[in-house]
Amino acid sequence: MLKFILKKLLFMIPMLLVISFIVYMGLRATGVDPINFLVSPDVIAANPENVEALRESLGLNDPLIVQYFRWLGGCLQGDLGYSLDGTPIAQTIAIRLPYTLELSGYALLFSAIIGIGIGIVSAIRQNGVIDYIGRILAVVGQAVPQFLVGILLILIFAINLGWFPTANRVDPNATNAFVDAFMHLFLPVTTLTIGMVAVLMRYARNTMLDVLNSDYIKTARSKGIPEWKVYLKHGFRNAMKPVLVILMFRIPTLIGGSVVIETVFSYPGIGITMTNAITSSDYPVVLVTTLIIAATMLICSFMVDVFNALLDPRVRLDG
Amino acid sequence: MKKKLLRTIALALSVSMLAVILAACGGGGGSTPTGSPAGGEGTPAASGDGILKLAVTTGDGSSTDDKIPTPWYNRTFATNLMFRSLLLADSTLTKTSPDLATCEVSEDALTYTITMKDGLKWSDGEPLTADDVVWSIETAQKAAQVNPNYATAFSYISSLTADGNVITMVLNSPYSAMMDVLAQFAILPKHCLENADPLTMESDPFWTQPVTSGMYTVDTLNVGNYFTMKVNENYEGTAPKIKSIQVSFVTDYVTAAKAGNADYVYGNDTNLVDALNGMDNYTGYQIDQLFYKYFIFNMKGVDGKENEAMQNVEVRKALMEAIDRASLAALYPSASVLNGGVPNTDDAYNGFEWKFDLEQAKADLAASGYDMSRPLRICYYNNDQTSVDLINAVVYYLEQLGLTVEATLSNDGTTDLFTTREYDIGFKGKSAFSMNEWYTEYLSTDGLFCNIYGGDTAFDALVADLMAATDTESRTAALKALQDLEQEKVYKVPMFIVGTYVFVSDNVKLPDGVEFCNPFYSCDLNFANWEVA
Repeated sequence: MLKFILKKLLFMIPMLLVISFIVYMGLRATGVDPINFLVSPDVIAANPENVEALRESLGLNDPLIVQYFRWLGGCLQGDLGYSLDGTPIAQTIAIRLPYTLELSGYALLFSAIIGIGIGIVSAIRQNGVIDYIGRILAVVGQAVPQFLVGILLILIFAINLGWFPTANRVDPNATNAFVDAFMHLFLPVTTLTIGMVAVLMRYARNTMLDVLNSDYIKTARSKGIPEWKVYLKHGFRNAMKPVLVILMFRIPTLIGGSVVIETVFSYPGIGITMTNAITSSDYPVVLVTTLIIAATMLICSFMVDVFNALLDPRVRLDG
Repeated sequence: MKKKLLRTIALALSVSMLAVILAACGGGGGSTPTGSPAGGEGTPAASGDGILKLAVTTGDGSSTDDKIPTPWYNRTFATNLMFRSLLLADSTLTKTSPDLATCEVSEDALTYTITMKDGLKWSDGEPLTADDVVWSIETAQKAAQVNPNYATAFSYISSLTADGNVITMVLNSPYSAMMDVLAQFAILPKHCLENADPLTMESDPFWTQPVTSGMYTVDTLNVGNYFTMKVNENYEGTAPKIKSIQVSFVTDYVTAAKAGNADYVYGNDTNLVDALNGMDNYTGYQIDQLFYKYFIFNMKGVDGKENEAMQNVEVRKALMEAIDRASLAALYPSASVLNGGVPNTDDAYNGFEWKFDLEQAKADLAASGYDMSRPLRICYYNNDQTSVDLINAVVYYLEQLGLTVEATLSNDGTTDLFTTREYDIGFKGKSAFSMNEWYTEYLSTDGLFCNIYGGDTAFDALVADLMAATDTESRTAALKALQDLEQEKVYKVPMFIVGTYVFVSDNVKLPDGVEFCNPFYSCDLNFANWEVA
């Protein structure tokens, strides 16, 4: 098992290197000169010598491959480099990532509880009221874009009712940190949760239905095991394996996918940082944030592999 | 039974969805009296707690939410309250009065004697001296991200010396807008920034807790969320009535205003102006400013590479004759049609008019020998809906000539022109400090536009005349000559200037006589006497 884990971990290193190289070269291959976004055209026009000096000081005159390896060398020494406006990226990440983890963490937790809960109940009470409501909500939750849900929630609960703030994460006049967090997180977490609940609900319902129709459930019932025990011990446990895999793979998409929600709610996380960096062609920041999402994806994939290997020895042998 | 249940569920869901949509669309402006709990679209009203609430938008890339906006490129309302200049401009930005200093100009307009006020201090208690002024100007000359008006003005300085509290600035040749520039350029504290790299000054840690010279200083900065400002105890002028200001980092001004997080909002975007005009608790103030919207023809670079199709001036003229400026101007909340860099209402306007005449344009284009099978390519970089609508309309007008027209949304409407030479026309916007800024784009030495007009030197002497014109007569003469030349060359053609609106919430009580200026610059707003309910 240890060998399996080590092998998977080592495989992640070249993967990250390849991703970083592709992203770096891809960003620079667009032909967009980052200096045009750092300095406005009228400044370049009036001040070409100073702008050229800035380009030189940022190393933008060096060959691309040199720039890439300089950046990579810095990363290996723990220096994530600087954004084009000179801010240390590590500092930016240190401030922004916890905000995003907080947002996506709550969304993951609530969507898991609600989505799996309703999905299981829907399967047990197939074609019942909860099942119908759940199925309709699942379709609506998946069909309506998240940004639209976010805007609607802002219109209703923040602007028309005035219950929640429309933007940011911290209020300068907050007296209670918990209440402040609740107020600022409620709408964006709800928005993210709605989309995810729909997916999990449908998946949990379908896998639970498959399990409930399987032979070993029929056997358990024929043995006279109480119905609740059949559902919980035999049904739920077996149905959860694929659901947990789905849940695990939602983590990176939540971090990357919160881009839209963070923009709608002016939420100061990694997503909005990435959006602003893309808008301003701040490729060092785009690169690092992309790599964070890629690394999260690889880690989650690794955890799923380990999880599967623990449950199924055949995976270890194959791997 | 099952069918009935299904119908009931479907009905309940439909009703609840309808209720959600109605609630979302509800609260329309105008129908509810101002100040009531659901007072129009503007509720909940901003402030109400003696705190002025401002918003800084990060969505357009002009500011970041990890530091205080810096004052050396654009000036914002918040930075104007923290950083002062040597002089103070009026709302036209062309008349000045003393602020940190008084300034006298010699008869030949070459020597400026600047005398600092006594008792000036930075917010940290350090004295604000002539050394700070000399250091600030010299550092701005080396900086990369500095307003081009400062860069141009300071390039005229041949010597700058300080003796006690008197600074002597000598110019190579007269520069007519120098006083106006001195009323905008913010003086920064040398003792805090002298070790910073001028090229990356904006990212110095100083900007997270800056030392200021204005009536306010930074209290706290919460990265990504807000910063707060408190009264600067070392400010020697009249203490402001508003004791605290909160500035939120937002992505959208309209949402911030609707949520009561912005007592002051500005913009010229049609959607923003319409939304704010629809809110009962905001008062709008229209400001005339030189925000040019214009077309630029991709001619040739200093490298000799040229766009053959646009070399014939008759082609360029025909294309411009085919566009109905007056109709396009109606797309903006406040736009005035232009025929050159000088507004039609200005005394220096030369009277030329671009007439919309499709038949004449067709005839001129045919006479020019333009290859009609060749697609005409337009590049634009503003992606707001009004700009997109405008470009679509322009494409329609040009197609009426029988042309095939392709419009491309670009990352940057200036450098893309000469980087690829694939475009014939660029559509641009420029918020200019003065008409001088419009005409300096024609200089053969201009770092960007020399790549578009091929470094044509025809304008250089006339622009130099304009820069040196210190009296109205010579200024008018220079502007008229420049208009004649630009209408002859047709390198760039303005469509109109777009006015800006400032909206102030009813929570703010403005003193009598306040006149707002271009929000990207600083002027006397008598802020010390502003009050917040």
